[in-house]
Amino acid sequence: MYSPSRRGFMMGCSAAIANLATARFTNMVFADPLLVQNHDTLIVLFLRGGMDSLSFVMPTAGADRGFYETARPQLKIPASGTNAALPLGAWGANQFGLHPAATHLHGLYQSGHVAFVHAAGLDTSSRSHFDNQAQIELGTPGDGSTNDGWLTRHFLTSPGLPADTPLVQRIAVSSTIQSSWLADTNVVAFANRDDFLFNTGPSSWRDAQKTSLRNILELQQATNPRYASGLVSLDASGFIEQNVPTLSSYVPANGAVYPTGSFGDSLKVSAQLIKLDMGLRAATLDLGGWDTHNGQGTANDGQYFWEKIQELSQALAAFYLDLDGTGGNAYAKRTTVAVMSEFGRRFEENTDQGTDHGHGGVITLVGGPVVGGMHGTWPGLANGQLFDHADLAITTDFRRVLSEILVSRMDNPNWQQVFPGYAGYTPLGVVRPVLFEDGFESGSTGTWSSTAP
Amino acid sequence: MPEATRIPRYRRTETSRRELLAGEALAPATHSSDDAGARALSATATNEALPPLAVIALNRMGFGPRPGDIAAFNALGANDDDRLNAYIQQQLNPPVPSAANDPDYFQRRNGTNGFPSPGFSTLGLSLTQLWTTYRTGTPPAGSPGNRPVLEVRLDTLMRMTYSKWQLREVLADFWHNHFNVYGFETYTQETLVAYDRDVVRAHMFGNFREMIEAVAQSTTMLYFLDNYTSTVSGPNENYARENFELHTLGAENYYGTGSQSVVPAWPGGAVWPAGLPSAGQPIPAGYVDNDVYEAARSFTGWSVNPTTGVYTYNSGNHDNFQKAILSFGVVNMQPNQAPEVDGNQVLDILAAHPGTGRHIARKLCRRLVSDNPPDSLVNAAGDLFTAQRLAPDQLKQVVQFILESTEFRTTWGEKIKRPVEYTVSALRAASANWQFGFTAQNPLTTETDTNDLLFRQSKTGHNLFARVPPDGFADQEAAWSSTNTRLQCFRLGSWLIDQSIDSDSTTDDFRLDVLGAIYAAYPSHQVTSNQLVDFWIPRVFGRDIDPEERAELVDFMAQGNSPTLALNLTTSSTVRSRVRSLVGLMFMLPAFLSR
Repeated sequence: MYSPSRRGFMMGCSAAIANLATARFTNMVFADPLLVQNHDTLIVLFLRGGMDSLSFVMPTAGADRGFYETARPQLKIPASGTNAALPLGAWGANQFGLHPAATHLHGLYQSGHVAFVHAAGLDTSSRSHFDNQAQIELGTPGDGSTNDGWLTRHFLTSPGLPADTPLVQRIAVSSTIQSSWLADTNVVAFANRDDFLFNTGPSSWRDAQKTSLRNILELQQATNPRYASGLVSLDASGFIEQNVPTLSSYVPANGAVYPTGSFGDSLKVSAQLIKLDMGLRAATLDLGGWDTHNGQGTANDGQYFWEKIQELSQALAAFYLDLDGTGGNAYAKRTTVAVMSEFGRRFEENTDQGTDHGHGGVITLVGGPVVGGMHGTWPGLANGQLFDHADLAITTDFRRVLSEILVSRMDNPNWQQVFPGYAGYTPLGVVRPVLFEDGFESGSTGTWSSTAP
Repeated sequence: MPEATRIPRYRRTETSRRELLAGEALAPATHSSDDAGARALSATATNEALPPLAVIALNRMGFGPRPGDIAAFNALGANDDDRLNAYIQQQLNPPVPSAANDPDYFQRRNGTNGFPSPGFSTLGLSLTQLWTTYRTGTPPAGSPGNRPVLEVRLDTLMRMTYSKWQLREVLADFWHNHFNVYGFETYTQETLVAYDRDVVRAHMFGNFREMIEAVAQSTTMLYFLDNYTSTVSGPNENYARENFELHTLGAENYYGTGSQSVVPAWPGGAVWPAGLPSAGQPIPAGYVDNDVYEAARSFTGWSVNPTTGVYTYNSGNHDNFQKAILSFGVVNMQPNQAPEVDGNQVLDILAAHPGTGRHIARKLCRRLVSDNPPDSLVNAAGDLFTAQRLAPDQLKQVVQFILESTEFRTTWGEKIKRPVEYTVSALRAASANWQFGFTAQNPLTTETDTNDLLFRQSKTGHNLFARVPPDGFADQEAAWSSTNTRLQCFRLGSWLIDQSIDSDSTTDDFRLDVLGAIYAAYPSHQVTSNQLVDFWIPRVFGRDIDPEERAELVDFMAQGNSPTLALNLTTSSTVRSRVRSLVGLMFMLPAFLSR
């Protein structure tokens, strides 16, 4: 069973904790079946730069196909023939397709583990990268001055958390933290175990140096965040050194192959931490490079956007496959990846074979809890249906999707606190609610409208 | 499931911004996004007392003191105020760089006085030479296309570490981030030498209007934000948008989509000055997307000559129709203006708008004073910026105003060193003999320790010219307080003190001069733990630290022995390595992060 002392591993504790980590935590990481079974993990992947959602998921037949082909003479993905869109089926009055480089993701879609919430996003009037990213991550549209991130508030208001905070409960798989975690003093920014060790400097004095550093940081731990955050770094380093094997030794399950590079690694690390059963509940990841004003390279193999989609698709599919075990290893059933961007791009391509900043985008969900398919409401692509006569309109607020995940999967009914000022939540039916032994669904607010299998 | 229910801490009833937007006049669509971090971290003020002005000046007008710097500062005047004023005057007026007025930097840059040559070969090239050699031509001897940016990066680190003219380096770094380009992509990597020299450094003590024209016409920015390809038949709005949002007015003055005609007027009845397109007319409080589109049309045809790599204006690609920019929708640029006039008038308007003054002033105050500078200081500096918009030394005047403010001399610790500043200040504190250059054996290979340093630096999330988005690296503590960044700085500080100049492990020939400095002060090589700690505290921190922290440092050095026991550095290699670890430990302390 789960050791109370391990559960008591709090950040910001004393030197004794580090010694405990060294002495006792090794080999205990697979211990607790309850911990394994009773919570989900949410991976939030932010595509920085404004991903061109209409090159990712686009109409392939129907009235809007004509508008699409007219607006995208260079960039359009063909509906048939070479490099044609991968069919997603009918949605409303149109047929939709997926970018042809997303073959892996398409396979997952066909098995029901991918949802696309199209025409979704931040519905303000801004086309700024930085403000939109901030307002999405802070969870307060129209207000970039909020003091804390939406994930910070989720963990502050989530009733079902263990009394003590495990060190790897929430991580930013990144060198710096995303704004979703603003003012969260317990999030651990961590990219790679081998770079995360306290192992430089003259080796004979390393331990003594660490002890002295800890003693000094404890002096103002309670009153000065610079001291407290230094202790978190020290604790996290010690914990990860003891409990997380080097990534190069990690063998993904089921022959899953992640794309090489830092993005594939960030999902691989996430899978590694999930499977170590150390209580990881949320992780934030980034994939940049979507600000394609010029030479987007959408429709042909080897071009820029094509390769971005290929990398994204391969990584997401590898992640799912890696987690797709049975019994106690059925991690995919408890893991949801939410992929979003600060905006979609302008409906009409520009003359540089690129696209400028736009409005509505697509939120992609991947995972066992996901209700596969197309979700939301398609607003149409006729000029009068566009936002500002220029961009895909938004019919689904990003907060609606995230609220549903929190309520239905993360055991937090307090979406009003997570998204202050938001009143529009009813579940869209993009994830299946967790069913507990007592037969009640997770969360008591909202009405469940999906016919979950 | 656990039964305990936490009481939510968040009970807010906020009117959404969209409801506010429903009114007749538009409200700003956003607040400046980087203000968010500032508020969250406002509790992170240091608990320290205000240190001597030398410490404030050397840490915020520069990259931290080297041994002797504090004494040199204190020799500048009879009292602290006189010294600071003299130092500000000195630093604000750097002479034309020469070996005579900046020997510590130039002996390394030029490979004189026994220092190895850094092997730079591109820093003296003209833009066209850079272009024809590294972009369109064949770089010499297999040298990669990114050789120019690699050299600028190494040269900048060398200047930060060794140059006497520290404020120049602080401002160069500031403006590089303000007009950020990612340095390691095609077109920027080859041209960054010219961008650094002819655009950023050439204007940073000068006039902002001239500076943004130099940026707008720089090959580096024309490519980075795509304006080189913007034409009448296909305007590309990337540069125009970021010019408004990042370079001039700032996101705090962005009113989103919507009509120009319903943006409120700038408070106080300000009107556009004479000589500008809407002279005498009220100034709108901010911009909407239509202003961005009109500006994008104005900059069509501003491009690059593909043969020479130099800015050129292609009149056939320019949109000659009339335009309305920051004028409540009223046409204020007539059709068929003379070549380049449209774009230059956009720059005139942006440089003269009081919102630009406030935006630049806030960022400068944030760099030089604190993460959250008071509005009173920002507004006064911003108003000076706007009032002096035609002065050839406008930017110098604004910087001087901020440095001479009461806030500058009475604020401490409301900023931390970002990771590059952390590294450089450690190198300076310990008189590092660091070789920022290429190896003598292979002129294509960065010197080993520097290569490792840059690799480790990248792990912190902060490395020069490595910020990909156009907004530049953040300048607030929230961005640099992550678990990872703190840990990477712990690792860096300790790693730095362990690098030796030669590969002979039997000698104490380390790049950071920890032992030599002690030997010079204690020729007997017999030093107590108390003496060692008290020798290094002023060098690393420039000031006293918390006595309890000092006691811990003494305990570390003494390792159970009496702090007054003389340690023999000659005979004990373990003591020698412990002294170096002591200095590495000092680099890890929060007091070393304070600025």
